[in-house]
Amino acid sequence: MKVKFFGALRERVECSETDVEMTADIDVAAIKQQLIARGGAFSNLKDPDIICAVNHDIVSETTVVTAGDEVAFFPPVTGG
Amino acid sequence: MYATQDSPLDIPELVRDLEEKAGSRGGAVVTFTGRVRDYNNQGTVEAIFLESYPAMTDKALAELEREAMERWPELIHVSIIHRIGMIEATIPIVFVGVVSPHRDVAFQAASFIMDTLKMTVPLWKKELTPAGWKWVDAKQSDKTLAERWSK
Repeated sequence: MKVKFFGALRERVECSETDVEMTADIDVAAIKQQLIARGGAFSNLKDPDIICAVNHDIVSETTVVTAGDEVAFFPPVTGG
Repeated sequence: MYATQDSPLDIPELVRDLEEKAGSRGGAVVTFTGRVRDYNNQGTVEAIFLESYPAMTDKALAELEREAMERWPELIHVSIIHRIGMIEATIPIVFVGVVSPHRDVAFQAASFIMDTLKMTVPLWKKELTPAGWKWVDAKQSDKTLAERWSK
């Protein structure tokens, strides 16, 4: 499954997209933990203000993700 | 109508379009233009860069337009156009235009759209200052303004 990053978080994790291996449906919190476990720049995902979207809708940490979903993490938005 | 674009906003053209949409029933046309300030709390800002998440940004703008029309069914037309990419100081960054039969609803809807846009539409601002590029942090004051509209 592809995970995308935007804004300041994209620069902090030093990539705009990464692949996450999935053997079963998992929730957003588990995806985040899996990425944080990689260490290095991915530890920036620990920031509690980070927002997650699945298939372009904002979701909570308990939302379950299935293969083929588009997951994105980003900081609070600052448009307008 | 909603859009993001990396070319300059043609404000006179956007206003002309609203006048057309207003036809004979639209007694009120309210517009808002947001411009890039040439300063922040620390000093000079030369330009900003607006990053989007194209598919989600479009979806959020569509949802914002739909929500405004649902809250105020008498609205005749809504335009929300946002710049993305590099924008120099003093240049328009966002345009919101609302047409309704009467002014009260048009003012309210325009305020609602801007307050909500700042909380829900995936766009991220980076400022170019003499010290270099710096990402802009979300403001508590924007959150407070958006919460006014919570049902």
